[in-house]
Amino acid sequence: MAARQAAFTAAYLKANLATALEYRVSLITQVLGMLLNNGLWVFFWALYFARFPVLRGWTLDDVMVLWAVVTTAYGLAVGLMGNVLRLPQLIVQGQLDYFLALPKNVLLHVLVSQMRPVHFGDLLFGPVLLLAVVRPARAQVGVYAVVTMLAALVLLGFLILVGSAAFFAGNADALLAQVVNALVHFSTYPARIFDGGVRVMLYTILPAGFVSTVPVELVREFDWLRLLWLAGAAAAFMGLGIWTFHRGLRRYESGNLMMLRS
Amino acid sequence: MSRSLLKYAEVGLIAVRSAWAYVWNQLLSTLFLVVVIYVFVQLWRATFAAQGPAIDGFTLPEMIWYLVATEAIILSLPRVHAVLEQEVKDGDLALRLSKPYSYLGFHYASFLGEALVKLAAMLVVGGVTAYLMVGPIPFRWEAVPVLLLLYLTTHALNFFYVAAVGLLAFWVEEVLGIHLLFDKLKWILGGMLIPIGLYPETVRRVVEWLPFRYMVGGPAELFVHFSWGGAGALLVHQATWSVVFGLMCSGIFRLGVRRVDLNGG
Repeated sequence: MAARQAAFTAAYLKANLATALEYRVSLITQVLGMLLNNGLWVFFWALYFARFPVLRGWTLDDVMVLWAVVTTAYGLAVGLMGNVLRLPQLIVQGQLDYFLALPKNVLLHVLVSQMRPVHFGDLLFGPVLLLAVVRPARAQVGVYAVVTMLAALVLLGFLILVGSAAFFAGNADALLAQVVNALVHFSTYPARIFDGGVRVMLYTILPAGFVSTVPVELVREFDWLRLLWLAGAAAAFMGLGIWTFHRGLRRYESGNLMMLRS
Repeated sequence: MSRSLLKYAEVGLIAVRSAWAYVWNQLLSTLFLVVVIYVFVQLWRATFAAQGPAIDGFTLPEMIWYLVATEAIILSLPRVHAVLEQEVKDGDLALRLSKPYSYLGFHYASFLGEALVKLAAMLVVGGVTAYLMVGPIPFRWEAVPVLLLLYLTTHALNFFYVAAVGLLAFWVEEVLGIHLLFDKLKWILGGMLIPIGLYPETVRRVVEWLPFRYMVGGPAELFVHFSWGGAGALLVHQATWSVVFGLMCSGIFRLGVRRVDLNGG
């Protein structure tokens, strides 16, 4: 079953990539634009650390690893599973009907049926930044690959959870947009600069800490317990997201709206 | 000429009324600004704790109010590039070309109207957040009319800059990637997140020659550290760059509109 779902996902990703490649100029400008966008953010941090070399124990290298993890995780979760940010819209507009009628896992089918080519830039940026600029040891590259996958799962699970709120609360587009903005923003700063209740929040209801700080700490200094903690968070958020989606699906009502599938 | 200006003033007023009708939406969308200010208060608190009470003439409250000003400028700007791109892609451009007004003039007036309402929302929410987190700063209230004038000139400069990118849709259709690049250039080299005075010397020298500080950081610095000389100098720089980008915009539009194919049906 898992092998069939993996093959199904791979086939869809291949088809989506072929579609994106049909508009080559557009794809290249989007990817380059995102690469440069991320590069400029790293440049901002380079300016900051040129003036203030250490920030609560973190240096420029740590922040670059953070950006390498976050951008790639975002590219995996949002770029490849392109419909995750459209979940509320699909639910409210009755566009799940198409997926319900087919003999495939509904959630997986919804997520992989669209890609967001602009986030290929994010996907590429992380490895390029890590290998070309940070240049960590080989073992650290391996750790980076594993923790980035786990961070992507945390992010994906969380986005599915929030998007599924549309089953219960109706139009959750605005909520999802605000939550995603907040999550991305908190993820791109070291969690160490936050204190008290906010730091707790970043490891619970808004898991930015698991998307950025924990992966960076693992790359800096590997620790099995911390890796287990991150893996547990990934499992928890994916589990909660999938469970919430399927609970919400029981309440789903189709609409009679005729729409063109895009 | 005055009748022509009245036409665009009316467009602006309609845009203000339209944006005001959804003012609660505008206020809700400023929640992100609260997050940004909160994050930066933590970042700068950690920085000032290590560096001392002032960094290059900025105290912690002044640094945060500087950020409120830059965010208010940036977040109040409507998504010009997206609207222009969409009009070119789906042909609404054709409706505008047949009307007795300038395409760019219409959009400028319309976006200015919307921007003024958004600016009010950003300043209220950002100001309250900054006040609660770091307290007030000494502010010269007599400078408010000049600061409002500077917002209008800042908006014009930003409009021409972003519209030039949006009009590239005549050639590439999707301008998102190009917009991201030029937008972030403006953010980083314009001093959106930290004042340009804190940049390394070599970067500061490059930035002096670029227009970005007059789009973002320059007006924000005047908001925090107002001076009449500074205001005068900023106005001159903004006027110069507005002419440059205005001509570019106009040129791109003239070249682009020749490529427009209108299909009936």
